[in-house]
Parts: sequence; structure tokens; C-alpha cells
Amino acid sequence: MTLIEDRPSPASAAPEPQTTGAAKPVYRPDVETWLDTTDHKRLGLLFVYAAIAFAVASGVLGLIIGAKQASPSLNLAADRWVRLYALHTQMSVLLFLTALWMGLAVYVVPLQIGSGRLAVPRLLATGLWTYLAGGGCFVASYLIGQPNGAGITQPTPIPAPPGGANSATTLWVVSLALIGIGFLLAAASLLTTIVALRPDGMTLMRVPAFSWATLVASAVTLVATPVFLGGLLMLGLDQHFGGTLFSPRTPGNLPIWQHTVWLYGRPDVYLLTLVALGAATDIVTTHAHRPSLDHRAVVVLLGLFGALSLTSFVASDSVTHAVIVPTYTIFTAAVAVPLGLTALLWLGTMARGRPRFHVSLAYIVGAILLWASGAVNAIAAAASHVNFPNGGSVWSAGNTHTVVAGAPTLIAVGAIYHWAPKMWGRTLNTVVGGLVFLCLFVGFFAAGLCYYLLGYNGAPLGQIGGLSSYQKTLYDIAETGGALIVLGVLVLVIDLVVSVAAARGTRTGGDPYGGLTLEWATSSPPPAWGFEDVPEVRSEAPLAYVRAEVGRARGGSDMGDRGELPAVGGAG
Amino acid sequence: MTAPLALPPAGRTRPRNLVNISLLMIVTGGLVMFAALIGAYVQLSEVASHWPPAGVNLDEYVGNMLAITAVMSAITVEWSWYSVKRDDQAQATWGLSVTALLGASFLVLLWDSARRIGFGPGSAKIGAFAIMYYALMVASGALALLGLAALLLALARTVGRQMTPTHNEMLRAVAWYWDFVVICWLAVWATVWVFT
Repeated sequence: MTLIEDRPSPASAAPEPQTTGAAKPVYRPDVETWLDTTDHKRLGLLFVYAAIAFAVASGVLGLIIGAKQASPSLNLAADRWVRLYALHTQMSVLLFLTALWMGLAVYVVPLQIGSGRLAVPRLLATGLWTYLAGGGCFVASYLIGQPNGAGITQPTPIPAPPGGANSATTLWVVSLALIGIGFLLAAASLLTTIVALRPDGMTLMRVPAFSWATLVASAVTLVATPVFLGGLLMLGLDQHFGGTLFSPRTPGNLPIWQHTVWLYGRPDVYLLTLVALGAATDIVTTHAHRPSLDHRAVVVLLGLFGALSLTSFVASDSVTHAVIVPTYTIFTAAVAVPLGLTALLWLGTMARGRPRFHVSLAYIVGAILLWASGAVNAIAAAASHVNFPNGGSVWSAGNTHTVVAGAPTLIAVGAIYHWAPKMWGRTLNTVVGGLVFLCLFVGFFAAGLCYYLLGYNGAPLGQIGGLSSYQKTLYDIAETGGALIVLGVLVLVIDLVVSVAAARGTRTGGDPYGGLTLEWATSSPPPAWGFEDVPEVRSEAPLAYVRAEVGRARGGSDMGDRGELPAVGGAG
Repeated sequence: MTAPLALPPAGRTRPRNLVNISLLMIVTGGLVMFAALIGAYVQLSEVASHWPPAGVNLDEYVGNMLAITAVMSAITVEWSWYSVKRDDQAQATWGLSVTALLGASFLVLLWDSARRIGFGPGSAKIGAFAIMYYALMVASGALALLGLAALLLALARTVGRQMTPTHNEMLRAVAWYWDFVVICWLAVWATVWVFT
């Protein structure tokens, strides 16, 4: 195994394969080279593929959960329903969405900052396989038995049964620890890459928005995840030995549970939005064909968002009675400020730019609408003093389907459509992309809205009986929304298979959009060594600067958005 | 005929020690984890009527021996690194060997202290103190076990003359990691044995 593939010298380079008149190249996955790879592109794709697989599984689980709520006569015991609900929520956030963003970051960030490689790639590879092992153990823990308690989303501690919990509980805790360690190692590698592998000229203030968001998210992960691991260690020992650490009789354990286990979910879900903001900024600037209105403001807002996400740890015991779940404190509620200002910067950038439509922009519009609906409902919930029953309200499920998971998922899928030409050298189908968007947006919006309305109606979280006709209608609509989400993910998988695996997608050059950032300055997909040469970086939109310089050298004002960039280095 | 247009290349990335930078980040995470565990320990001790609970006797001798062993190993690992920087392979080998021995002794002593204290599955003593005690011991032991493996690897590479005065990044990273293990243990020792 080599850490970094060497660039072949011109003398030793293999001759280009003759494709004229030959059969279409066949997609041949080389399993062995993927298993021991340290290439950031392959590692990123493995993260993405694993995340999509978990998304399909989680979606199917969501359908089963919703079906039971819509039809209480369905033959599914209440304890099994609780088990499936916990599996669905944790799989959606940890195994799908976090991993999907991690995969996109691992692929794109080294290219965006001009390094073309990862720092300490074995560390990231270890993180990937640890995450996959953790994901497998996580699913297995729910297959071999019933883990004790309702999961880490439970705001009150999980007491251990006398004599110790079953092996499913132990495996569940171990799997969560493995997933956390996997993300921790990957975050350390990404952070080191951004800090230490930028070429001269790529100052921190010139780092593109997605890479900057990854830097902030990785830093927050490095601080927040170890706290969670400490909490899991206490939980695992308590459950295994049948201790009384998290027993209701032990004084002082509630803040320990909340601050080491439960509240970890807050910075974690905020980070999903943080990287979504970074990715959306790059998508908008690329298709608006101009740099962001104020890149420094974007950098500051992303940093502020990350800092505010950490303030969830200062919440007191009263968070369980907070109305605006999950924004428990004034600081965590304040994340709406950088979010809103960043969205305004997108609108200004589009207005001042020369936008061309790309399907990824539709996903961003959809995400903004979901965030707006979440904000409206948060204000409505606070103003109307919604009564939140003990154990939670379905209102929280509405918030999850719109704000926490819905909007970041939309932007993540939009990011796949945006960076697909770079990752696979082929575009995904625009029409199918629009269909995926409609399925996901309508699905998330319908499900979220129905859960919000059920919350206002006083429905508790996990209600599977005693429904009024109004509630049953809402659960039916929410179930339909869930089915649309699953359909959207399946159509995305079909598009990937047809366009990439079956090579039906249109082949693209290195820079299909006339991009601004360095990932578009190399071929698609990039060579194993990343770049042939990295152009000089003199602004936060290095390729825009390059185009302007080339245009001036040729006697014009600008070379425009299209056209191949000249070679780097050499005569001239 | 004009020369083909060409773009100026970016400046080269300044060489930085990536292993040490990423190690510092992981060490930061480890310190945060210990801060969380110690914070939980202190929080519980503040509200408990008896801490440690009645009937639990913490052996100060074992705690102090563990602390002394840890500090000695931190000194010997620095000895080995400075020896490598002075190109003294024999001293470096001795330093690493002694550090590895001290590390193994630390682990054995840690295991023995956890075993002697008498908490076990189904034991009536398994309360909040026992779980916190075990959590701190397990976290310290796991870090020390990883450190011992890294020390043995560094020892093998030193014996194989792969550490030179100019190329000793791996040994420096191992030394820093071992220092981090020692600092964590000293924090645990101070919390559990000194400021009870």
C-alpha cells in the first residue's frame, strides 16, 4: 500500500488507451485496492456509498414506524416500535447524514484547498473503517435483542437493570463509541489537512466556504465528541455491571447524563447545518459565476455558527422543559442569526452574479423553505405555549424532519448533484435530479408539517393508539411524506447506478461550470495525485482571478465562464 | 508565433510535521474526555453524602506508586528522544526500553488496583463511585495500552536504526503521546487520591 500515489513521469507514463471504435469502457470495481486505499477520493466515495446505504435502511424503518402510527392495528408490539424508532432516528443522523457530509468533505476539501491529498490519510482510513464497524455493530445490537432504554435521544438517564444489562445494550454502547471514534479520527485528519496542507497563497481567509465549514465542524467535533465518548464509557460500565450511576435514586446524575450523552446530539445536529451552509455557499457562488458578496462575512458567520453550537453544553436541567426544542438556550436559538445572514448573502450573490440554473440550486431553495417553516413553527410554539407532555412531543419529530435533518439532507443531495462531475467524471441526470428534489422536499415538508400540527394537538412522542380521526389523517399524510422521502433516496440511487456505474451520464471536463475554486482546476475525476499543477492563489475565488488575468493577457476584459483554463507553469 | 499562455503556479506547501499536528488534535480530544470524566466525578462527589462511600478504602500507596511510575516514564521517554537527537542510539534504546517497562508496570499496577478494590458484577458496592472509578481507570488504561504499543513500535524502529537526529518525527510523536498519558493520569490521581 502506498500513502500517496506518485505522479508518473512522462517517460514512464502508459500510453493512452485507444478508445476510438472500441467498446464502451466497463465499470470494474477493484475490491482489493478499495479496501486498503488511502486516496482521499476513494475514502470519500466509500463514506458516501455507506451513508446512502444507511439512508435506504433508515427510510424503510421510518416507513414501518409511520405505518404503525397510521394503523395502530398493525401487528407490531410497542417495545419493538420503540426499538425501531430509536434505530431510525440515530441511523438517520449518525450513520447517514453525518457520514454523507464527511464523505463529501473528504473528497472535495483537499481539492478545494489545493493540496490534492489528505494529511495523515491512514488516520482517516482508520476512521472510515471504524465508522463502518460501528455502524454494523449498531444495526446488529438491535437485531440480537432489545437494548436497554430508548436511546441517546432520551433526555433522562437510562437506569441499568439489576445484575447488568443484556449483550445487546453492551453492543449498542460499543457501536456508538466506535462511530464516535471514527468521526473523531476523520475530523482530526481533515482539520490537519486544512491547517497544514494549504499551498502558499491559500490563506485561511481565502479557504472556500465548504472547506471553512469543514474546518469549524471538525474543530467542534474534536471538542464535543470526546465528551460523548466519556459519557458512553460511564453508560457502558453502568449498564454492564448493573450499577446505580444512572439510577433515579442517585443524586446529581441528571446533568451528567444530559451534558455527556444527551446534549452531544445538539452540536452534532447543528454541525450538519453548518457544513450544509458551507456547501450551499460554494454551490451558489459557482452557479452565480461570481464570488460571494462578502467572503469574510461568510467565514465569520460559519465560525460563529460553530461556536454557538457548542453553547448547548451550558444548558441547565430545565432544558427538558424548554419549548423550542431543540434550541434550549438563547445562545443555541441564536444560530438562526448566522443561518439567516448566510442565506441573505446567497440571495445577494445570485442577484449580483450571472446565474445559470443547475438542479442543485433547487435543493438550496427547498432547504431555505424548510428552515423558514421551522422558524415559523418555533415562534408559533413559543407564542402559543404548547404543552409538551413528559417524554416529548411529536412537535420534535416535525422539527427533525424540517430543520434538523430535512434541510441538511436536501443540501447534501444537491451537493452530490453539484460535485458529481468532479467525483465521477459524469453528470447525473438533471430531470431525475428534479424528481429526487420534489420527492424529498414534498416528503420532508409534508411529514414535518403534520408532526408540527400533531404537536399543537397535544400528541405525545411515540403515540401508537387512541388516535382521533384528525390525528389519524395527519399521521396518514406524514406516512405518505415518509414514503416520498424513501422514494427520493431510491431514485437518487437509481440515478447514480445509471449515470455512473452504467456510464450513461454525460462525460465532463475538469471545469464543467466555469467554477471559481480549485477543485475545478483539475481533471474530472482527478488523478490519484490530485493536481497536475495548482494555479497561483490570490483571492478566495482563485479561478475567477485566473480567468480575469487570462482575459487581460489576451486583450479582452475576461475570458468568461467557459473555456478550458490554460496550463499552469511552463512558458508564457 | 507567440508562446502559449501559461498560468503561474502556486507556491509550494511549506513542510510541516503532519503527524505531530494531527497528534496534537487527538490529544486535545483526549484531554477534553478526561475533563468530562473528572467533571462528572467531582459533580457526583459534591452531592453525595459519603464520597467514597462507606466501606470503600482507596489504597493511597497504590495511587502514589502509579503516579511515581508515570512521572518516571515521562522522564525516560524524554531521555530517549534527546538521545536520538544527539545520535546516541544506545542511550535511546535504553531510554525506550525502560519507558516500555515502566509503562507495562503501570498497566499491571492499574489492573491490580482495580481488581483489589472489590467491585464486581452483581456486587452491592456497584454504585456511582464504583462506576466513576472504573471509568477513570478504563480510560487511563486504554490510553496507556495504546501508548505502550506505540513505545514498542518506536523501540523496534530505534533498534533498526530508523531514528536519526534529523528524522525522528515518529519518536517525538510517541513521546508527546506518552506525556499526554502521564498528564491524564496525574489529573486522575489528583482527583481520586489527593483532593478526595
